[in-house]
Amino acid sequence: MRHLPLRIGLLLLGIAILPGAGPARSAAGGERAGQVMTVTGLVSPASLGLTLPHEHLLIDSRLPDEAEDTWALSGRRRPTGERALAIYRAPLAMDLLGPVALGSDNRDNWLLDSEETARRELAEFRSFGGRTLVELTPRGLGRDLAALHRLAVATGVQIVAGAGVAPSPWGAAGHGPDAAALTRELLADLLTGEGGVCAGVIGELRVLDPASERDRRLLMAAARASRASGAAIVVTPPGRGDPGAEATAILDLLAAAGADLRRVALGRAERLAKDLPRLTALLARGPYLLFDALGEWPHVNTLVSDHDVAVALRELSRAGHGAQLLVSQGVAAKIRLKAYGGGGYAFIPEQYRPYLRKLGLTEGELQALLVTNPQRLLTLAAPQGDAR
Amino acid sequence: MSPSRLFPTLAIGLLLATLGAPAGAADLPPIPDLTGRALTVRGPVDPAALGPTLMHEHLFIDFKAPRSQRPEAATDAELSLQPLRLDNLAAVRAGHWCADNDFLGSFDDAVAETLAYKELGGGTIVEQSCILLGRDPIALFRLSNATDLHVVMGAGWYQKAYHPPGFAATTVEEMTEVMVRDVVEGVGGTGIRAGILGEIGINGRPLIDIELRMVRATARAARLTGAPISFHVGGVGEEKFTVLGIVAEEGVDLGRVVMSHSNGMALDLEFGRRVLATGVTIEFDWLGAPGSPGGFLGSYTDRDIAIGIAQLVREGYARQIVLGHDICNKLQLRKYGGLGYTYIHEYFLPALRELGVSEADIHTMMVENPARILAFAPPQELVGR
Repeated sequence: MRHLPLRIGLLLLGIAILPGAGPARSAAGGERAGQVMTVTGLVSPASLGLTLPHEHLLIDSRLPDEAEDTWALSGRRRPTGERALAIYRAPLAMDLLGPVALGSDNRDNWLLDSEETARRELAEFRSFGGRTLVELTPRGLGRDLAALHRLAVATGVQIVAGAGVAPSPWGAAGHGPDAAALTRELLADLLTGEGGVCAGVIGELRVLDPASERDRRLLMAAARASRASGAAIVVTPPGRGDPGAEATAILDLLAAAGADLRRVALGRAERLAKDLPRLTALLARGPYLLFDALGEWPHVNTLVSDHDVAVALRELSRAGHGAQLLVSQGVAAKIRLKAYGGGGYAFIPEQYRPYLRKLGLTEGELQALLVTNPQRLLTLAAPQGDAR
Repeated sequence: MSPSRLFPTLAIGLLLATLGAPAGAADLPPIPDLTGRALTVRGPVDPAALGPTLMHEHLFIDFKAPRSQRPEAATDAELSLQPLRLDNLAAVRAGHWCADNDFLGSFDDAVAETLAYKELGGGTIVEQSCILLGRDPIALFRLSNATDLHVVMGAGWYQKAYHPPGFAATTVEEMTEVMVRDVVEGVGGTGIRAGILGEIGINGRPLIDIELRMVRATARAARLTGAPISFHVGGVGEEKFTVLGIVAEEGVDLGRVVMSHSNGMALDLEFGRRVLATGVTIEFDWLGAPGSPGGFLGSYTDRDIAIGIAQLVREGYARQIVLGHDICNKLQLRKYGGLGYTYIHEYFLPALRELGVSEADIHTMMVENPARILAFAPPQELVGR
């Protein structure tokens, strides 16, 4: 923390050179190419250091209501029976951590609203060598860009915010806005921001059903906004059906809408960690594979463990795919925080990096995974013409 | 059991040895014939009454490591002296040593946690805290009365770091006598009797002399009383066959022996089959533990163990498999963020069913095997006497 004053000075300088309010799209996009947009302004990619590309510091993904179809859309298991309901309704306390980790739903678990907790957990990340964290809470799920700015200043951790819209059932009902409106919304986040704080990446795009009109529009908008802004896309497949088919459908839609798949990070890659041939086939299309559920408590219903992911990372690196791999914890619930017994944001630098070393990943492979790949992902590309 | 209980016993033993008295059988109390009965802290019962049984747990235990095994770094030591709480749980789960975590001493907590198990149909808990692990016969007796669960208490010594001073000089005969008296007379003058010899702290790699004597003494105590045996690890790799060879040499049927901590055999099935071929029962335990000492990271998960068990069951080994959580840390308890004594029933058995294990085989592992093993064999003279 001894470099903090200098760092804050640089960050404030970054804010000062931000363009003022207003669309100034192409000019701003042009100036930004080759740099990374953090919540405290543009920075040099070289300054990123160890970077986590998919986390949430503040998020409210409690279900908006208790309706049957809300539960169905969310993909969460509705609690039934006296004990399950008691667990669901109680504030998350120490004696519920076990059942909640093994799948009992708890409403309070889905709320990260304490800036003070986030600050402490982020400082912990920094103390283990973390430098940059990508915060992908979308609009409508409690995104608070001003708070992210305060957290970055307070901790010295660079934060890149996401431009995204909440999935149903939290967001718009039915088909939602059309692709053009969504594109404008994403570009506003990327280029204008709120109170001078801009998003630096498109995401998290949480896809619930690639076949639905709503998700088709969302992916189309993301592809257009990516071309127009040079920002990368972080997309999360539904995680319900066949993981390979889901990923393929998403990549097809993005490619058809003109996205450069080399600017796409495909989340939930751990679901395929034991199927290297399918991962390799996906890699051939150009995207990053993002393993973004690391640091969870493994138990008897764990189908793919952090160890399995580590083996996949080693094998894919050995096979020459090291430049397309990303890892993150995907913290989005209280039980994942250190304050609630979890691995916290520091899990990867504190525990997983040594584990990967032990499994035989070289320093060069680790550098690609934790530093240079996220750096390349987050470096804004030159805008490609108009948003169609 | 308090250490003060042990020293007079050892002193008498040493005295007898010095006088040249024939150590062993001559000094032993009359041994009752409990053939076919399980011995709980409330006395002998019909094994048919035991019901679903967790074969390896600790309800009360104090195994805070001796100073020499504690972390050296000062910031680790700072944590190690705090009570386990929500704000240090993450660090302790990740493997930071915390003395309080290695201590289960609350009677009320034990009642609450075990009642949750009983509500799911649980019948019996085998409590394997032995000498110098905080074994507490009166607390176990009270808990059994408070919950109406059957509790079987352990006997013998744990691993080397927990041996009493001077223990390395103890003879096989002295050890045998202590264990026999715990089973026949009860522990520490309470009259509350041990119903299993375990967990006997054999580690191996390499097997050291004191361990080999412990194995022989345990086998003799089993031969004399008819009590079952539970080994902690019981040697690494081929050493297991050395350990079991000594037990067989002393005339104990290996069907009376449980090898604890056999999770590795679910992964190395070939080795597992060789061990099973001796006739012992293998135990899968430390199930559902939320990290510590290895944190959440490890080369295998409970899922892998369940898959291995399902395979062994398909091959017909259900009659040689038992399960337990081996709860010995606070962080395994529900109160401290764990899954308590109910994880096996709530999560592990459903996963086994999903993997194709039948209700009948689950009944075999959870009910029939414990009942058969915990039922005493006929007491016999030592081999060669």
